[in-house]
Amino acid sequence: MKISVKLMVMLGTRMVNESFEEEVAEGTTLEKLFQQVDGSKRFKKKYFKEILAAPRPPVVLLNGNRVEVPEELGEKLNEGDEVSVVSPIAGG
Amino acid sequence: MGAKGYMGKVMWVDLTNGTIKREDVPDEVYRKFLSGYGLGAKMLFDRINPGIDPLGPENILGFCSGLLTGVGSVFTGRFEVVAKSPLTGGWGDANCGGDLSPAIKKAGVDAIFFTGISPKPVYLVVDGDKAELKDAARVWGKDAVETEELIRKQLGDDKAKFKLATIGPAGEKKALIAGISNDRGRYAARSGLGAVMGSKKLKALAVKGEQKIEGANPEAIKTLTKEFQKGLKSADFLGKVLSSRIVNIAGIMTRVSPLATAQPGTLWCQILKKFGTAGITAMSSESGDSPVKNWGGSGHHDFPLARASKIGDDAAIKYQVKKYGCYSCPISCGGICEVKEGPYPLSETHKPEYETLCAFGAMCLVDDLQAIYKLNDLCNRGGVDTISCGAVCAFAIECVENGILTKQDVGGLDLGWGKAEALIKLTEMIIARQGIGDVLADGVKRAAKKIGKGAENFAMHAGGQELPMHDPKLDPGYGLAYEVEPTPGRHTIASGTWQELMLVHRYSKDADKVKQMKSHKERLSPRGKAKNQAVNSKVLQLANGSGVCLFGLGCGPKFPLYEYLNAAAGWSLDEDQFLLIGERIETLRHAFNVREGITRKDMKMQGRASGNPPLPRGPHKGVTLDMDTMAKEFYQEFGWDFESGKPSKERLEKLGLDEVIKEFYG
Repeated sequence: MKISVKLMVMLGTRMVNESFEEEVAEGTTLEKLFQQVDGSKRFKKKYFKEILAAPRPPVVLLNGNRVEVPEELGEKLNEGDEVSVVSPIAGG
Repeated sequence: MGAKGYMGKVMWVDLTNGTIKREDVPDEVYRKFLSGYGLGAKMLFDRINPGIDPLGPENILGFCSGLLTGVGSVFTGRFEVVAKSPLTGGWGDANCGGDLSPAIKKAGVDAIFFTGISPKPVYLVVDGDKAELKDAARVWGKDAVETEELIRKQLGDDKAKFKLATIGPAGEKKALIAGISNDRGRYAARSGLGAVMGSKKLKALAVKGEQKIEGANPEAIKTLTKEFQKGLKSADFLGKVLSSRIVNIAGIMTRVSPLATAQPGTLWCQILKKFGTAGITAMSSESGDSPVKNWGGSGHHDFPLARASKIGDDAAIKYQVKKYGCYSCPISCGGICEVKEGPYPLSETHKPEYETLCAFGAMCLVDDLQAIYKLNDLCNRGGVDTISCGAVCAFAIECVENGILTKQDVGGLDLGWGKAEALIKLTEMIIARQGIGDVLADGVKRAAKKIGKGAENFAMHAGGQELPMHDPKLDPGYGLAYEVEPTPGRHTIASGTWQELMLVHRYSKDADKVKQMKSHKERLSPRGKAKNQAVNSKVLQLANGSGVCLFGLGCGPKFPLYEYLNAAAGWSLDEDQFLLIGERIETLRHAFNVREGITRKDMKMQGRASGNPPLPRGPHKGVTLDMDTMAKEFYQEFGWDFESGKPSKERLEKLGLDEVIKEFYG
């Protein structure tokens, strides 16, 4: 099944802004999705591992609604789901 | 008399009769209130009677430099404008970077206060020891930037030695969302202080001087600056060299390196350096930091990343031709921009801040970057606060959407979400006070009252001040500040975010250690937030008494605030004594409001902001904040009565605020 993923995070001095579709197996969880993308050759770096290990965890949204990190990363995905991972920066 | 960082004098300008005098200020006042808005609060509390008209002659408008400005410290170039606010009816202040603050001190004073109302438009020229009021007939009606240019011409100031503060037409017309411009578009925007300046028929001040500003221990200041900058450079090094790995290894580093404990601040600093505050625009829309569609929408659904990215980070700096830094700033988060393409060309304009990009972007669902640049430039020239202007535009759109305002009411404009061209026209009408613009120019609270028909449901404010662009449902600390700080609806004082960026426990041994891996549920819990929020607030009072930029406090290495102040003023105060000064300034500003009859219930945010009713979808789906519990704990931290707002007599005695004891306890 196809999952739509949006990644917008600040890593060091780099702004990573990527939107893509990922084909995953039935029953895939959010955590598995992130591992799958990191393990693929889509990006040179393991972006999801990096951002999920940050001192402040990212904001993760499933179909626009908040998912608690890391507690709810076992949430199973469905065809056509939209996943957003965003840096939790709020200042300015 | 040895050097002490401050000048020990203030200037009083009586606009009614044109007299100007300098007044000595006892050392004791600086020791108790610092300079900046601490000094301003002391002057205004003592000399303003409660109940006066903020736009009348009795109001006092002050431009206050910071105690640390010019002594050799970094991040210390901000000036504070103070007055009774016509927008909130209580204490008003707004600070700005730019270049005015050192000029005030070089002219030999720490602050310039204006009283009365001039019989005709004037501007003040201070040139060292000399000061005079000049006829402003030729600049009255001109925009804020043009005014700066024309006054420089009149003064023969081709080398830009004078530093200016000006108002645009909105300030002249006493629009309550008007601010005060410096350096062609930096803004002391909030509290409606541009209207106070306009009410006094004071178009501008132009200040220069040659007096030396020196601290008691310049060598110590030099060492502190060197060490702090070393910390900043190390953070740069980490950011550039380790790049993506920086975040990954942060967990290890926090155990071994003091620098790494500043991790969130280090990232923030990198964003500021690269993009300015514009860097967070797209992320904030998606994460739920940005209010969307006048606080009724969700970024993911209504202003998704594909649209938000058109106005943030890389896109937002597309037109930047050079970076801009305020006085004594080592990171330069500002930018000078030029737009050569599209329907709204601009030859020179300041880069829009995040607040502006969000206020017209996510709030009004506009993803046309050139239009937002134009709106930003219009506001900067016309002299209105971009936050309030964006908020009042979003309010108007929602009123139209709900049939409360008709097309005829809005002058035939095709007002709707995302309709940038109509917003540009509406902003011009606000600045000129034309048609519906006349109603909107006084902010959403007053506009809703005039319009009626349930418009108050869409008026997003706290205490009359339009809410800033940070949703408390992501960070409830912002909401707490919006409701309990003497300047309601302010995002630059205290929040969970600022505590994390500052690592606020570094400023007080009594603060709880900032916990980074906090779950969102923990963040939303109303209890146990007040202690660190209070420390955060007290530190900010000290910063605003010293001219310190908030970003300097949260950019990685610990800002040596206490050490700088001791070295500048020749004091030997410890952390507790400094925090007591912070509490004193906060309590005096709060007491100003209490004396005006303002209580907490007058400062509450419009319900939608705290999730009442909760949003049906998005990152804040179903979230309702318990603001009263949070506020009650905050009041307890400061010894303020929750109902009346009065500080306890015991606490006032501890603070040595005899002027407040006299007022409330006889």
